[in-house]
Amino acid sequence: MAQSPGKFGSPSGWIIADGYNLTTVKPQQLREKISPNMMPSHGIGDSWEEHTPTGLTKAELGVEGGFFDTGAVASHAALVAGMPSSPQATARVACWGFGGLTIGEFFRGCRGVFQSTYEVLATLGELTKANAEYVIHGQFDAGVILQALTQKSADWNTKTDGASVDYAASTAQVVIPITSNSQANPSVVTTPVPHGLVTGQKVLISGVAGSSPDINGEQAVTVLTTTTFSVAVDTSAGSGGTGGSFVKADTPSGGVAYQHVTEFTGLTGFIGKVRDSPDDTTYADLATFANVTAAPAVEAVEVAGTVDRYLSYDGNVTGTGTITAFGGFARF
Amino acid sequence: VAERLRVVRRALTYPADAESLRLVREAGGLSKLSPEAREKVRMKEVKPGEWCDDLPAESVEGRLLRGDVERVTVDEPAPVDGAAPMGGRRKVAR
Repeated sequence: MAQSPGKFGSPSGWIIADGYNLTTVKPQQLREKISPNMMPSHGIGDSWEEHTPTGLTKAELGVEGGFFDTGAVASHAALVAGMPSSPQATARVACWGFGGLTIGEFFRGCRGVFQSTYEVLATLGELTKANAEYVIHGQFDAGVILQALTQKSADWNTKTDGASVDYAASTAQVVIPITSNSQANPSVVTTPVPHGLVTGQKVLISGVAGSSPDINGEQAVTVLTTTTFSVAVDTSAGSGGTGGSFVKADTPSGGVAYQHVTEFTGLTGFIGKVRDSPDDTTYADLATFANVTAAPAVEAVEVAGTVDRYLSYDGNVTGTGTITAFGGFARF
Repeated sequence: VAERLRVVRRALTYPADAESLRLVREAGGLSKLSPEAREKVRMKEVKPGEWCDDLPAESVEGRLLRGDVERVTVDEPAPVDGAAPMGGRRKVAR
């Protein structure tokens, strides 16, 4: 059987740093590398080299071969301004992805990025290019795009545009199989592997056969052990079931919302919000970004507590003009 | 004496009228609205401190549990639409 080729290519890559859309300078390479710190752990008596992880993880990000451009909001302005010059230098905020800049696709975000090099390369017979290397200070956040980099001129929200993002439908989720659910009140669900849930968390169960009443659908769980939890369904007068699986329908530990504004013309203000909803009917403010009055602008807002199943992005403009914004959210 | 719902900590947005709510329910959620239905649905935003008596019934229990809204016992009957708070006694249970 023929192997299918890769799903994404270079047209799907993108990077925005501090409100600068670096993809527009046509970088030749965008590189993300995550590696554990290892140290040699072999010694006298060993005949093979050994390496042991230290527990630290290192992340690197590189943008190479972008065309040198001194225009407004172009590569030179984006890259030269980011060089740190003191121990108190402000870290940058960058978001990038390899699967396309579209709502629902995955992105990576980092709130602690120090640009360590800016290199301009004038080569005989070629257009002048610029390279930038970033040192990541802290962790990557893996999130989902809620607002693609699209120009807008009036208030909008992605939930009524039909573009909210359903966490239960995320391909990044681990689908946990279900062994059975008991005939009891409440019914106890057993999994063959640790379920990783906390009490109060919601799951979306599907494919369970024979349970009466049915436990398929969205359920809040009460954790009993690492491989059992109960759901508020009384099957004591009916029957237990077997098989099926579940995915998480919300997450309990907060997250971080990212916003980049790459273009801001004519308007007097812009406030972006990330909203969440457990039912896709009533949405609540989850993260509100500060009022933006100029571009480029960037902000990352960390939130605590439960993040519901559906996420949307709301843009609220003041005045007449246009704005181009990116919004995303990474669950912890 | 009447029992009313008030937004506590996070602004809420939800279908503004019965027809909008019917369309959303029929579609199975805001994200599943057809382009034609999307044109007809009107949303409202209710900020913390404001009444939300018309919160969709399916959302009430979850929002109470999360502490996003609270039940308040007031002397005046609830108006038809969510108007500004007029004071009232806060119930212990949310």
